[in-house]
Amino acid sequence: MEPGADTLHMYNTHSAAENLARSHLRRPRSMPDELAEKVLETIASSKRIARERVLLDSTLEDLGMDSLDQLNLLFALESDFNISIPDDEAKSIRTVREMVEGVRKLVAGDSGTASASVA
Amino acid sequence: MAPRRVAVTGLGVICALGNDVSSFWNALAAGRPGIARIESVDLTALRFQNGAEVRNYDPAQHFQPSQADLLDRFAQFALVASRQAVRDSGIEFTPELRQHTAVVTGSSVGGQSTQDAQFWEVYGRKSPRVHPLTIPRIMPNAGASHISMEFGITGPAFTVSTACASSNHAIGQAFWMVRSGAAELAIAGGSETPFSFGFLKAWEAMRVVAPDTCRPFSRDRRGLILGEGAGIVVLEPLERAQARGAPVHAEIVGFGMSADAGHITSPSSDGPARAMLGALQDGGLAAEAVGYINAHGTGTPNNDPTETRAIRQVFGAHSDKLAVSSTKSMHGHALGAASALEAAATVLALRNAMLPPTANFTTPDPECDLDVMPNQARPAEVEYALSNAFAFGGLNAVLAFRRA
Repeated sequence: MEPGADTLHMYNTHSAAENLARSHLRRPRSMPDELAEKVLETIASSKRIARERVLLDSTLEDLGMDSLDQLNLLFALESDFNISIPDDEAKSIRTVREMVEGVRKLVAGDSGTASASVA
Repeated sequence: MAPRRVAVTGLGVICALGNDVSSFWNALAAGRPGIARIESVDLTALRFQNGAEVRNYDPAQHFQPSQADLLDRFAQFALVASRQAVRDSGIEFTPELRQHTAVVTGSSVGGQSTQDAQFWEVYGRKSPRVHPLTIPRIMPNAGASHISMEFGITGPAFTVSTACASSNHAIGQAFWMVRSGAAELAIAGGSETPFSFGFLKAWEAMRVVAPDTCRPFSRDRRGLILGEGAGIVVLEPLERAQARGAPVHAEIVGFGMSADAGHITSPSSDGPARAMLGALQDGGLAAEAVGYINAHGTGTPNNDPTETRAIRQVFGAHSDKLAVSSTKSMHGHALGAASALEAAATVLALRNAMLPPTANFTTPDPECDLDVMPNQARPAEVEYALSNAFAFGGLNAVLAFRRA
């Protein structure tokens, strides 16, 4: 397939993922690993690669993510975690670990510059 | 038979810089942007807040209510600009000329505001019906159709849709038709009105719209600013224009097109370079003859360095003698109408011997190391100029102009 040819598909929101995000919101940050695991799953499903390929220390470049793949991922994360990821924060992210920590911050609603939004 | 020379004898413009050609030019020459907080859409749920909207526009001043009913805002703008252009050209249509006049318009998305409002009726308000004129208002060819009806033009008429290059593709087709004799006259350009909530949300999701303003080639650029409007040119053989004593604003001398065949949104430098080369070759121009380029210059992090490399690829050492500016810094990125506004800006720059600047510029970027004329217009008599347009989808179109 040509690069980018399939990347404007509408992402299928997984209701299980939404439930997970909500349950995480209810629990006082007791399951950070579960959140990280969910972010990794979202990355894998958004990029359509095996979950095992996605490591905390992977860079988005390592995973072969081009600019549109990254847009799709941000959309998927916003949908799954009910958050709004500001452009400037999104641009600074290079690794999976940074992505996990960014999502964690937004889910907890303690970001100085961004607020989690509930759709 | 030698190909005919093609003159621009009429100009019409409506955009954030003004609702006629003289106010448009005054703003360009002053380096005064028309970018401000968006007024036509509720911004509560939008990350970006600024745009380049047409102000002080009342449809009732231009259209009877029965005609306005048929017209989405983008088609209204197409008509407003084409009335100006036809009046400016002083052309008098005969039945014979009407049959041999072409209308070629560009639009990326057609009647967005109609589509947004009417789809909301069924999706949001659960209404069982939409307005019966929804289809004829949405269709991207509505501009061309209404122009043909307005002036009784019965020759070839069509619309080109190539995203941000639509108008250059449209004007290029019209230029070739007049040059070859396939048409005796052409009304060409484009119109766009992207300010509808759903469409703005789609741009927000692309994460390419600046939160502040449009700063092409400036190191602190943060993206494009959407704009709206229409630009229309009247084209005719130079001989005919001279014979009837018409004002010749400039000539179009070349047109080049190419496709990147690469990425759907990330630009290449090879494709744009080939389109610029194509325009030079089509016009029989040496690269060294060009003095000014009205750049695509969107102000996104990616476009401007890529365009800089493309210009250097084509012009080599002459790149450092070129004056380059992006007038999107003032009229915003009007998508399918952008290159029509820029064609008008380029024609006026040649005619008035004054090159419009790149506004909102603060800091040089080593990756955009051309003479981009920060913030100040420059008096200069330029013989030849290019106007660049490079679309999402990798479709590139470049026009070459000559001072009259």
